[in-house]
Amino acid sequence: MPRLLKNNEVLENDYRILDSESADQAFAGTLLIPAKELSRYKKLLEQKQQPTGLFLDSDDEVESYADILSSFDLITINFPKFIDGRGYSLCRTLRDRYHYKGDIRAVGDVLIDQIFMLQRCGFSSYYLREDQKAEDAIKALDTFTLRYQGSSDDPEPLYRKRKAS
Amino acid sequence: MYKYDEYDQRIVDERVSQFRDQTRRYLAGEIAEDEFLPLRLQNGLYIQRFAPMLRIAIPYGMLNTRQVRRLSEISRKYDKGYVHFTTRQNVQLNWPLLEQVPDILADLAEVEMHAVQTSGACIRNTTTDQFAGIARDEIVDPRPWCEIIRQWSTFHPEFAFLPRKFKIAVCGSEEDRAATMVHDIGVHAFRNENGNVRFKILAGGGLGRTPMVASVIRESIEPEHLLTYLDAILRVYNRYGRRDNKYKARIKILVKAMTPEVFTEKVESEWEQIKDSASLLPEAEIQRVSQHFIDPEYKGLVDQDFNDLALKAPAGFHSWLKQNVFPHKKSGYCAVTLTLKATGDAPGDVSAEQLDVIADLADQYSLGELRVSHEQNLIFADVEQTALIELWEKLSAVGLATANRGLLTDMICCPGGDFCALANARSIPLAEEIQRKFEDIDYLHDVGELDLNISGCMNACAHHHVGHIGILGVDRKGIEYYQVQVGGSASKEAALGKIIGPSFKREEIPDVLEKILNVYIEQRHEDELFIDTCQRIGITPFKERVYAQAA
Repeated sequence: MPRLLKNNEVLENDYRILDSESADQAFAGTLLIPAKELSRYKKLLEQKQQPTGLFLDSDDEVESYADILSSFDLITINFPKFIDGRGYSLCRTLRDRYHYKGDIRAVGDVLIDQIFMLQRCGFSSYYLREDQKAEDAIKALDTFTLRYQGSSDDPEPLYRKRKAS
Repeated sequence: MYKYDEYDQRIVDERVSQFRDQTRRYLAGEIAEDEFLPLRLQNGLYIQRFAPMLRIAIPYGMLNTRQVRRLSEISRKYDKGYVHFTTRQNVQLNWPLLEQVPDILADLAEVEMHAVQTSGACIRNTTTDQFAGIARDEIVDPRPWCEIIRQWSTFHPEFAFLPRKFKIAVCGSEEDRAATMVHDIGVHAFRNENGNVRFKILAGGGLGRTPMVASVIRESIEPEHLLTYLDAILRVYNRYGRRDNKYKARIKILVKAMTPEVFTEKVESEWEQIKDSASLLPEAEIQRVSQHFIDPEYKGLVDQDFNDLALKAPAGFHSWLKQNVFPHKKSGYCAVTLTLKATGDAPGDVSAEQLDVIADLADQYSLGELRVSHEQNLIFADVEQTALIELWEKLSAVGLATANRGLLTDMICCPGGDFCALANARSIPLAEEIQRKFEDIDYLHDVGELDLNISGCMNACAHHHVGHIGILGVDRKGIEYYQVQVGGSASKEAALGKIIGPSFKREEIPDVLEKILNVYIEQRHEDELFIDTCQRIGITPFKERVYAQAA
């Protein structure tokens, strides 16, 4: 069952995380380089034959990759467990501080009930956990029609938009 | 009091729909137990020892009588006809059915109430001084700032899955009545030399297994930067707080491990990046929110001679007047505390019948509003002094005029093993045994101001570390024991109590307390409070007296 959600559409998976075994095999989609192994695959990134992405785990430091972020076509942020909220701050840092404009994807333990908040923090696609219903996830993107505070999806807090009463 | 506009109302209504759908999917087996857990907790819903427990938010402790009547109705319709007020300025229902919680939330939303973020690893209900806006020693009214923080923290998308729960308290008076020093973030509002409002920011306080007093991380910040500064603190905590060990996950552990200096540097460097963002708080919004908290139209009254008043009144009024009536900034007015600590009632519990009477009396005597204190009491904040005798008579009739505010029997007490699944020992029966032993109101008044805090476990919901006397329930091979500590304080000069020695059986505790009080009575200087004597003489004299027979 397809479970990649992007632009309100359900799509087939189009990325693969590099490891030593799969590095040489042909793959049509985006190859993700794990941040922790970046030095090992530096060449691949420089030569760049196909779309290349960065795989960040929740404990990775975005700051370490600031100067090369634009060379990636996709950044995935892993949620090892849905209750690990570090990915939200990582995504906001990528969007707000480093102005990364490419696709940022939540991967791992990605559940429907977190999707609204992920979207607000700047995620633009979601690779849902196997058992999650993609149609429910699309609905969840509209959980709230108003938000109090500014965030990466809309930096203007409600207090800048309230009608004068 | 803050009044919702269409935006606030829509957000709360949409939350009800969201939770209704989540509950439906959970009951249909579409959401697993451990995945429903954080969702229900962020809606205040626990699964407790005997039944679910629903914790309803009372933002910064303010309630109007419409809301009190609704709580009464809800407790009758969905529960057993009583509610419990907590140390977080919240109110709890102890017996709701999970299936009915969405309906309860819908009923609450109709009166501008909710259960948003009353639990879970997110930013909790912001608390403050129960006398905010009326205290004579107030420098800045904390309520608009609490409401601004409430809105900022409600469904903050970045901070819904923090390493642990996160509690913010604000105070704006000389005296700290909000225990800000033992919160994850304490905000002290003050005025600078030009009379402008500024905030001192503290972080890393907290109780529980590893109690700590907060560190100052910024001496002064301008109002427009308050929210971005909070964002910066939370972001540093979210990224670097420990997640490998629940007991080391609070911000206090991070601040200590990094040192307050390094933690501050991290926060400042994060803040530099976001301080001029769209989240800068405009003066217009501060004004808009502040408009909700301007003074009501007070009558031009003069202060009464309280000695004269007491002479005219029936017996019993005098001690209540002395203990439960608090001075008001406006002459002719006062604030009245209804302690929810009558002997035999679980501390903080109020019946539906009492709630209805409270609502009627608050309409009649306190401009239709009341407050909840972190000592689990209710307050009528705007009472005309000339109406005090009448009010006292009416409160007495329903058992709400116990004259013990701030005294030994006005203890802060968690629900303990009778209700809470985490507890190691029961707290409510102990509170009752202590109330029975120390029934003599004259004796209590002679002992004077004394904070007694009773927690049924390490989680310290009743803040036993900062009680002048703190009691902690512990479990030893399935038997309840109680550890006693003295010398704690939740004031601006916060201090953690020291354990006096081995723990006791429950039935021993009232006598232990008597011995502690005897040491104080013998050693006190004139007009010296218990806590001051404690700090002067240390714990040794207490220890020697309490354990004398065993030696």
